[in-house]
Amino acid sequence: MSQKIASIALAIALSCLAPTLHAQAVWQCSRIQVDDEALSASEKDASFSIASMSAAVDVINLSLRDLADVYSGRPVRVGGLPLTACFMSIDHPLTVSALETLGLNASVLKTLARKSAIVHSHLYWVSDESLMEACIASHFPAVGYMARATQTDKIAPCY
Amino acid sequence: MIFSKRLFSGLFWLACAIQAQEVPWHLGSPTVTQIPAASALNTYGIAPGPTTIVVAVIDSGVLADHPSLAGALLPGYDMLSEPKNLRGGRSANFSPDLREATCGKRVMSSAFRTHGTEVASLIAGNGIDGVMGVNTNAKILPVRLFGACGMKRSDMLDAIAWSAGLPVAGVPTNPTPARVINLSLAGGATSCGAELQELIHQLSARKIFVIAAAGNNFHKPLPEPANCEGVISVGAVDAENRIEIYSALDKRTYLYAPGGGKKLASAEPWGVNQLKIASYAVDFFGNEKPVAEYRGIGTSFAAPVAAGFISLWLSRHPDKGPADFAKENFSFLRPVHPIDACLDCEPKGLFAGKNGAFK
Repeated sequence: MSQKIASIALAIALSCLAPTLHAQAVWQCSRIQVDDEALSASEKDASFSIASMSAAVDVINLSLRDLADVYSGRPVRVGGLPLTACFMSIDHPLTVSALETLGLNASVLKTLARKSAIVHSHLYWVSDESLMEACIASHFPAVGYMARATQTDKIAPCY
Repeated sequence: MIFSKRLFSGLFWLACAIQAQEVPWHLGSPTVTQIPAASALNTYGIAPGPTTIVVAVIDSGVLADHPSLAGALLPGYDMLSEPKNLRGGRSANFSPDLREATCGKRVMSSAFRTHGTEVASLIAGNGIDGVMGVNTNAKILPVRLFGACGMKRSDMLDAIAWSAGLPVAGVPTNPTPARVINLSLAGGATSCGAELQELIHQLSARKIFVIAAAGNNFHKPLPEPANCEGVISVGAVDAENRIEIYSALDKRTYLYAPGGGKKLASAEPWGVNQLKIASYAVDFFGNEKPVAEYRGIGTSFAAPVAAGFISLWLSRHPDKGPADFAKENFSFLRPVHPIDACLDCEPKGLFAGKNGAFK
């Protein structure tokens, strides 16, 4: 009986864990320090953009294609500056999830890493999520991905 | 020598002929032997009707010298006012801001510069280099609304009104009012603003269609203007008729159209799952060159596919309006794969039907 309860409990625990394991990565971008006085509250809350980009006025504005390009090693310029892309290990579930949203698979990063093209492509490898946050925060303009939407004075969700 | 010249010439023309036959996958199969994509419109081979339909592209501006848009553009307008307009204010110059234009601390990808050109090409591309609009007979009315400094809500209302032929203070009347207005724009408030809603009702009464991208907000609800009543909101599906992961997800989404995304496993031509668009690339010397490539991803590109479709239908039925489309849409819509994330959604995709059902 107790074995049955334990196996049910395990099944429930696993089913709760499953969404975490397959969590959808959230794209995170460099935040821009906008002059709050220059923007009315209504303008900040109700700003529009072309649909490919974020409508938020306080993050760098990127399109899905920009993300696909930069994670494929194709240079992307944002406001005249090269875009930095931060990434975790190729087999990390968040890397797989993030790249999938762009139509890429992790082998793209593998190829770039093998060619030692990381620096030239403005791609930076980090080992965990806290370093991911630090990577986005320490480069500008930069993009990366995390397990949940994170907002600090340096980074914010891209979309 | 002569032989090799002839051989070269023959190969050249063969390559041209092959290129000329290329049909974007989202329009349907060019031959009966090719398998069409599950989400293809199947409009390929449907000749536009006798009426030329004007489609307004309210966007980042259009680069008028792209060969794939030759003959498709009408004189448009720049409706962006100061201080968002880096050129000083409204004018007849509808070209986009420069690629590396900046605006204070605001930092924007240079992708915004070509966005309007790419959107226009999906509606009325002339087929050169394989960029074929859904309605090659449509005329594009380019209206610039978005620049390096972003855009203003009040300018959007003016741009929509002007496109429809309504008077706008300080701007010459639009001599070629649009029957279809494409808004590959998103953002705004979580509900439709009263002024915008009133304007859209006014346009519907005049039999003018307003098409809006559902937005690339990764399954969040519809933003403005897609959430306004009377707007044909367009989400994105892949070539295999599944809702794309980046598309907004909301039961109010009117329809879905191919929007491109993740490359698919299929070896069929549509496995590329990106839309063929007219765009520009920068060469080694920093010069912009027109290109035609499979690079379109997003609801920004699904919306003009729908706008082109409706313009094609209107070219055959110019007296019809949004209310007629709503009545007859059972002919044009078919289910797309349901999605667990929205159990009360009944997503439908655009489809011209088989064997000439699109009349």
